Amino acid sequence: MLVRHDLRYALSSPRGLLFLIFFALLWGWGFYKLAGGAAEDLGKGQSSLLIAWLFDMKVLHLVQERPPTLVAYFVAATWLAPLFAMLGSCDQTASDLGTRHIRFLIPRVGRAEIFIARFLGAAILVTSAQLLAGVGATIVTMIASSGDRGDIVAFGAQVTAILMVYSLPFVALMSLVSAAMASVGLAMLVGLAGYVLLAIALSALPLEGTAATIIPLLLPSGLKPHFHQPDMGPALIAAAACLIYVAVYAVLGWQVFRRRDA
Amino acid sequence: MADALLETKGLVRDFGDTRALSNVDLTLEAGPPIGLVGPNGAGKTTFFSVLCGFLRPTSGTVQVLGRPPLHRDLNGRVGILPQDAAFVKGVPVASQLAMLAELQGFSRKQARAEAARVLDMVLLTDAASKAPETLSHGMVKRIAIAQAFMGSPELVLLDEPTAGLDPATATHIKNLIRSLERERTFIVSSHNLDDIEELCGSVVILDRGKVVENRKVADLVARTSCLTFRLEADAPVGLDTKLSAVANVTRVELGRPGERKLAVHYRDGGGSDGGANATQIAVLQALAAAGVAMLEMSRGQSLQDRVIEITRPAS
Repeated sequence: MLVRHDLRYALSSPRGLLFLIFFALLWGWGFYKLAGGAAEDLGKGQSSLLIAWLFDMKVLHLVQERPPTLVAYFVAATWLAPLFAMLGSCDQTASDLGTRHIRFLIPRVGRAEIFIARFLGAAILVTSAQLLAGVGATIVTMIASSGDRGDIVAFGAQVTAILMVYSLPFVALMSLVSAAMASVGLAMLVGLAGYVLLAIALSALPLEGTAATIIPLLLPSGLKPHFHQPDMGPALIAAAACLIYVAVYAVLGWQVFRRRDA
Repeated sequence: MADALLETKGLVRDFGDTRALSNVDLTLEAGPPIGLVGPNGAGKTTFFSVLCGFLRPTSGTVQVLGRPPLHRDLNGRVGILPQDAAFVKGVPVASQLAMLAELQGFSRKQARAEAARVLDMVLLTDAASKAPETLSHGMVKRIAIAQAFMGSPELVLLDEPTAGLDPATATHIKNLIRSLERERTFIVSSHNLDDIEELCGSVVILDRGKVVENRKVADLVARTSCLTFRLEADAPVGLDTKLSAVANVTRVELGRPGERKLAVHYRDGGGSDGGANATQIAVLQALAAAGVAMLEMSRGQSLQDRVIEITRPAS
């Protein structure tokens, strides 16, 4: 019931609409560019050097083995997914706590139900947006590419599923941040700024050996390279790791939320 | 034996180094409305919030209808009007009330009917489709009151129910409480002691985190054994001695400088000997003899005066 109400509110509130409009505008523009076949020559000639330099050899292999338009969407979407997920899920329990709306709720429903409902509402909103974008990217790839349609649909489904799963840890991270901040604006600021600063700091650290393997995994964004491979094996392991991130962040978020005064 | 309406034992709530509630032991039984009053900083809001389950006690226990606050078994049995909770912006108030009713256990159809019923109770049927941010503060307050009346709660906790309401609406809300008080018990927290005196059968007075009185309002205001005066000027020096010399006068209280108040307590002989009337006349004569001019005189003390007197720091 709360999830239903939460979703209805998310789809009509300024914050929910802002997320959806921003998401739709960006991918609308991206699909418009991709539909013209702009990405079809990626991985060929000098562009392969650029891709190998910008990303790594795994991405280059992916471009060479899968439909390039869909790969271009996939790589861009994995970079943007954390930001969109955090933007779309910054208001989970923050409004309830900040405006004390929670005082109308808790005499009628448990805190756990509120926390889970708010998380599910945000997760459904964000993953639904990813699903629609994934369908859009698959259709655009069919238009732009002369490749086998069955292969495009299969890879489109894989990409979409990965992006949906990859978004979830960031929704869970925001459940922790929103419970801690009790203000939507502050939650958004702390979540987004914290993520960007941490990501920059981690990428700038001169890491070696075991530290180079483990420290990037402190954030779910460290899983990106495992998704950007033609093989499904590493992607499946990374997807499972995403669920572990979800569990860890959600448990921490719940611990903060359950202890807070209403 | 039936559970007490409300019971606290050794209740303590700290905010950092500040102790807001200090070992509060209190048992309240179902009955006429109960007022919860006290000066600013007395711990009234904290106590109310702990009773509602909004704040957790630092130590001690609270039982509401035999269960801890917010226990699942209390869903629908306790209605709460929080003072400063906001409704969700952009969502019609009827939808929000219906959602709360659904959470309370109503079916979707019943919830819509219940929302309409409680909106009608607070005379806001016309506002059903409006978003809360488009309504006045008083209207939002009435909607918050409406949600506290959903279902058939045995206990209704109201925090400042008439604050921010115009006199006509405040009267309507008070009449509403009066009309429902036989079916349920109200606990009303308010700074407006006239409202408390008008509505409540008993009152709990908090001061500096402790319960300093828990008595019937009628006993507290001592209608028949006190005269209260509002004076034109502060009482002259020695007036208390002069009034104490009047037969049957037991105590004289002078207001602080600038308060221009005077309360004279006396033994109420009752019966038919006219003792009380004679004492009152003697007090008035003594005042006239002392050259004290008054603006107003009333029998007994108002609850406000009593609360001020009880919670006044010892000098």
